[in-house]
Amino acid sequence: MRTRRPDLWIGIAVVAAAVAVLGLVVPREIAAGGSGSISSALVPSAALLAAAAFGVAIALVGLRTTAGEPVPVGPALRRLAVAAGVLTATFAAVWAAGPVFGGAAAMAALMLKLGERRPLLWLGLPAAMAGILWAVLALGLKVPVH
Amino acid sequence: MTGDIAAAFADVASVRTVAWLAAGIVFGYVVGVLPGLNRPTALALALPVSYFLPAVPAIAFLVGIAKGGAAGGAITAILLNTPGEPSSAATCLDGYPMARRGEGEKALTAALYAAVIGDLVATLALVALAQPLAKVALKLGPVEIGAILLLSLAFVASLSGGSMFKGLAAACLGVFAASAGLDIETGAPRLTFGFIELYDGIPLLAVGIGMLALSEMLVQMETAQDGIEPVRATGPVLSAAEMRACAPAVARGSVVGIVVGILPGLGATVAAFLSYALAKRAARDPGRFGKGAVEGVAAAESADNAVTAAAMIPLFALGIPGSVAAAILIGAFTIHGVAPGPLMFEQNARLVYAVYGAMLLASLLVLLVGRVGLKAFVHVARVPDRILCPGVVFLCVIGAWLEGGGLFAVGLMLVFGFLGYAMRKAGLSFVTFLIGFILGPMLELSARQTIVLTGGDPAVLLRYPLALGIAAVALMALFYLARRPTRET
Repeated sequence: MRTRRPDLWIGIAVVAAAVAVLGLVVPREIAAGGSGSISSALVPSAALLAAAAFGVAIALVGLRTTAGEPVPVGPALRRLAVAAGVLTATFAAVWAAGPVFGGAAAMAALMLKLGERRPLLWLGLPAAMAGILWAVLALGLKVPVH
Repeated sequence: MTGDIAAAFADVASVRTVAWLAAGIVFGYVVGVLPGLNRPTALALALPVSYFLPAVPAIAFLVGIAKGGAAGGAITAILLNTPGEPSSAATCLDGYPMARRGEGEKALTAALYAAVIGDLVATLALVALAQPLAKVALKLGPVEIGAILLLSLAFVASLSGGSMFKGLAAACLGVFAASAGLDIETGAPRLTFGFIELYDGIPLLAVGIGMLALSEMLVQMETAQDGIEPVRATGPVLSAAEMRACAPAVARGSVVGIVVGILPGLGATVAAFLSYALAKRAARDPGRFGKGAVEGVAAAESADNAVTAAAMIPLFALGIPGSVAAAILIGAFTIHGVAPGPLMFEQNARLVYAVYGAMLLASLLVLLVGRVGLKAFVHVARVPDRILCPGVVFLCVIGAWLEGGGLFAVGLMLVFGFLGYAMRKAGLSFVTFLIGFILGPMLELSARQTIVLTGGDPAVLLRYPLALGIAAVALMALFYLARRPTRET
């Protein structure tokens, strides 16, 4: 699927997100204040309303713009999905092995994915960084890294 | 005051402070040279180090990174025609042609000297202007402060590049995100989703590292490049006559950098190109520009480097960051219990003078590091993205963990990394989001105080003509900027 009006969809997404948070999240997460005090929801709600208004403006400007090549939507959504997958896998590695060794594992995996094939680098470099950081953090600064 | 200055001098002159300042400049140079990394990324990654250092060395380290990064961007701009920092793009225009015809050494020397002079002049302007402006700011009430904050946000949002409405939407989302935590009046939790870790609000470190560093790496990894082979830096040295010829361009660039740096949202790239354009217009033979005119290199670099120090002027005087680097510095000040703003000069004068001293010393150290380390920095550009980007992701994880929130903080950093990536793809300015996030609490406090002062009656605002004037300027600026053609980032 392609679109000549990417900003129209971006504007709609901003409006939808702002309205959804305003309608569903804010009433649940922000308690109504007592009488005589300024509502805790005032500034967050005002910010969301303003964001929604600017989202409408983005969509309206996008509606008028049809110049340029159509932008493919599928690859953009795929890239977002890949980014989400990479970050989820990184979180899983840190959860399983701690920030130093989990982070090193994530670094090695990313290096492999980006095409690094020299074992001295994709194994050695993360291991060396992990060793140095563990020594500095756990032994030197006594920061818990598990 | 004399006692504070003497104590501040002792703080800066200590071996630890000088060592961390030099380390920051070297790290900044490395980051400036690498096209895949930029100063905000480096500052976000280095911010967790602040936890383990006293205030003066911590801030000196970050100042060193900011200044080293500004100067280092010229190296790849001249030798590779690839700006290490976006603000060095103007340096490519004449720097690379000079390198191609065998005058790389001359171009690099001119860039370094112009950078140091621009930076030094702007630092002196900071010393001269910040305190008087802070005295004026102390006379302003919450209504006026709120109007200034809105003006700053409007400027940043509309000048950050791309669509103005996208910038404003991002700023509003940043203000919203900043409202998470305990309500400042009632102490009731807001937007914490049951997580006690969010009672103090979303940590700036998680947002900064995620949005600035991690999201940048996600973008870079899409088009991972091999390292680049630079042109050799050889040829004749800069002569005294050429230095004199560059002097007007450097002076003009320094002033441009100071003015642009004070105004939030414009940034070093605007300053560098504006200074370059002015130098070309003032030249006797404008046709030389773009083909290897040393004045073009000097004009761009002096303005670029002047912005770094000048952006601290609104930070110290008003507590409003003039740049992303200044915004990150707010985090460093906050970590050490200091709220940047006009009261700093009364409550933390010694720290302010120490920062001034560190910034002045940094200007000289940039010259030394630049002269001595040039050949080594050139080799850094050869590091391919498939090694650099995963390494930075690793450091992002460590940095988020160091903030103290453990796995929760890492998760938060990853969420904001994804959000920053999605915003980049949608053209929504993550920089404006970050500025909105930082200014959000100040904006909320001003809004609440204004409501109390006015009793909720908008007509009472007529008693605050200065605030109304500032708000009118903000609206006029938005109207004017909305009508100009959309700028491509």
